[in-house]
Amino acid sequence: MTTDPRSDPRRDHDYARPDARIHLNLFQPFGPVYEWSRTPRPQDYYEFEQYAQLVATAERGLFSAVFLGESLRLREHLGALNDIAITGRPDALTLFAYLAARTTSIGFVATLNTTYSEPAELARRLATVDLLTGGRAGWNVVTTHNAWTGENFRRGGYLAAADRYRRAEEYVAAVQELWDAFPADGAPRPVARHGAFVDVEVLPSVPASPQGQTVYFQAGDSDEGRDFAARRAEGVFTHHIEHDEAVAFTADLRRRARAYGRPGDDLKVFPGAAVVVAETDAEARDKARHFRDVFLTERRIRQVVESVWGRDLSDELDVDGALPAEGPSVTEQTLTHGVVNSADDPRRKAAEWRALAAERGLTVRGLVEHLTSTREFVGSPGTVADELAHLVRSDAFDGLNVTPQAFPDGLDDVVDLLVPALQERGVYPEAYAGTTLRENLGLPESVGRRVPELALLPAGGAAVEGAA
Amino acid sequence: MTSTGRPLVGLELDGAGAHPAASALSAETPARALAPDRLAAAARAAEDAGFDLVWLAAARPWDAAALAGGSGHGRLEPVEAAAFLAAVTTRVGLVAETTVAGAEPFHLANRLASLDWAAQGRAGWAPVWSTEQHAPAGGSGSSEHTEHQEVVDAVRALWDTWEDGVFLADEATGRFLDLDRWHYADVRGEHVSVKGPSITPRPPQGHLPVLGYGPGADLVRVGGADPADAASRADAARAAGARVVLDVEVLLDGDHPAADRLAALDARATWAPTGQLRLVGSPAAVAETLAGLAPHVDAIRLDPAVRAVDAPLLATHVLPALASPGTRAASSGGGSRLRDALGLTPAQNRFTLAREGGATTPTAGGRAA
Repeated sequence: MTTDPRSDPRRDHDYARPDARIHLNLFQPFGPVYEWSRTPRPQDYYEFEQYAQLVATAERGLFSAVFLGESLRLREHLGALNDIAITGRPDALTLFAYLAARTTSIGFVATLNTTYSEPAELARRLATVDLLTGGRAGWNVVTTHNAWTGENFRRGGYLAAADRYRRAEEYVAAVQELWDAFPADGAPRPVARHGAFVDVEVLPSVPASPQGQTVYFQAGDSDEGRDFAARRAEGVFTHHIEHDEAVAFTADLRRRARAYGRPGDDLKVFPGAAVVVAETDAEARDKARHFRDVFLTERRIRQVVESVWGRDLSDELDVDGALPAEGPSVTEQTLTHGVVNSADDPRRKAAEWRALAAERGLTVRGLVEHLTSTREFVGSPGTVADELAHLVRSDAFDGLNVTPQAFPDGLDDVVDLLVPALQERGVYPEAYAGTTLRENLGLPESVGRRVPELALLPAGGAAVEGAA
Repeated sequence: MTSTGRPLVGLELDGAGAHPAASALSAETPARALAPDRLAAAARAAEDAGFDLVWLAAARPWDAAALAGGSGHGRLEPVEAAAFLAAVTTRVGLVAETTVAGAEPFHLANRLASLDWAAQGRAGWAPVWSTEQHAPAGGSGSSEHTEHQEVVDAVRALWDTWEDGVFLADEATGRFLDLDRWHYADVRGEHVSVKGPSITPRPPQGHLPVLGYGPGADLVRVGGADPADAASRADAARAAGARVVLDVEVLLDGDHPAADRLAALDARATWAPTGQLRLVGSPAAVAETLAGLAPHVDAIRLDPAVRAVDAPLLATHVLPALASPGTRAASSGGGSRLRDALGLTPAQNRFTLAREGGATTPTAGGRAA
């Protein structure tokens, strides 16, 4: 802990943003890894009261928002539903509407796909949650393209990739126009848009919330995705955590935003990361190791390999031995499983893994541990707070999406230990800045209103990347 | 919310009221009229008054005209509004309307199941065909009827995909879920198809009670041109084996006689017939009429013409006449489920039935088709 002002780290560095503050969001992944034995009833993972407890802790810790991803089809493994993890979840907007009555300040960001819904309905639902929360809602925009997900919808998977993105742009423009067409203090005006993909002719029925429009988030790392974010987004979800890489990524996004006539700092960057804090660095490392062991069950290790081999290896794979000598014989990657996705070639992937295991002398367990390792912030409150203060002052990012490792008490240590340490260093607020998500993220009014030409569809359209 | 042998009584909370000119009496902005504290207060007042249900409409026939004329207040999405109310009420049933024309059963099943989790079994679903038209057009077998039925059936099929007992959370075997109790829905209809399973686990009630139109509804909604017509419609529905919910629009004597209030409202906007039974008069006369209809129906949905005026009158003067003293207080034990309150049998699960009946279902076992 730094208390001597002469050693204030802000004076030792030529920081890009010496007075920056970090935002924390609560992010719950779709298949969270918790110790099941800690909960008396497995159904507790779906109880709204339990969510209310978790979110109350986040709000006590002045978190900016709760962020939920979306799943439109439950994961499978080797031709059956995958029973390995806690899966399934309440509908995000229904949950957020409930939590609106249980909270006062924290924001709620829902990931909602544009592929299998109509803009007028999605606009109404989001505007409803925005009004119920007094202006604390956000929308993380994603699209999906695979026919596998489409099997859950009458709309199905009917668009080519390029058309899908153009439809997404038209969709977003329609939603935002619907929101603007019913001001809080006036009467609604009809909206008519007749695009190539989105045809809307409707009178909006939900008036604007105190924040005007819900805050617009998206994911995106590709060139197209970054450009789309720079043009339109107010929040960006990423995975860049390492100092140099994160600083470069954020600088690139801000530069692109300025090219569109935006100030650049009106784009908030949020990588996802695990945060493990305990009283001492050693305790924190033990805790992180423990969570790692809970995650790396033999079944999970085997599933990672099976997802590439495309068959059941339960009788032949020793997780403390080597990868199978033969195979895989499949040529198509049909499963997405964490570190594997359907764009991969299984045989090339297997060759890559064999080489990596040989080079580093890894067993299957070691290999999967290596492949699935994610960047974590691990340490005492002082250690992690110093690290985060350095990163946010360097403009590596604006905030973190923090994944709790237990439910509903998985944020207790972050809120009770880390938040005070961040506050001591002057990198975390002492109170919510305002009442809306927009105010609490330090965002001005929505991009489309400030820079109206940006609301127009660009020629050719651009990509919105999907996110889990 | 326990079955009393008397009809359950619900209060519509939508907007300023059933009359298209109701919102014109208010000087409030739409955003203020729809503010969450207002919604919460209205639901709590209904619960405290002893209403068994609060109802959230998805549409009014005069919506477009009222909104375009600047006199409408707009409306929150009913499912989300009901989920919000789940957090601020403890006993009252929460019925949300949704439209089904073009709707995706997958989204509906997840949202409505989530509402039931939020309300711990107090949720009900009132599917209506579209914002313009409550009941599907044409006779049974029409395209609208078929689509309506397919959507309701698909939603119920998705609610069955997670059977009771599906949660194992067995750390020894690393299995959180029991594949024998977790299923694809594999619905393929003329209008909808859905693979499943649902994202949200089976709702606490198994199936939310469906209050709507057509043979698939648990309670069939009826209206009527007059009380005798309503009674005969209700009797006909019961004769066909259905339970009945009666839709009633009510305008009562307040500061001015009901007829004068109606004339003043009609001078601003025409209140065209909607198919609901419409009762205009003194609280005592309306209470007597409703008490006469009570034996014919299983639930009554009261839709106040001007909510700010008529809802309190309904609570004070009409509601007590529909229940003998004490029955509603006795029914107010928290935690009881809406299905039970409506006198419905527990929801069966098609997959449980198939397994226990020894039959093999094509989608059991969690194997992909």
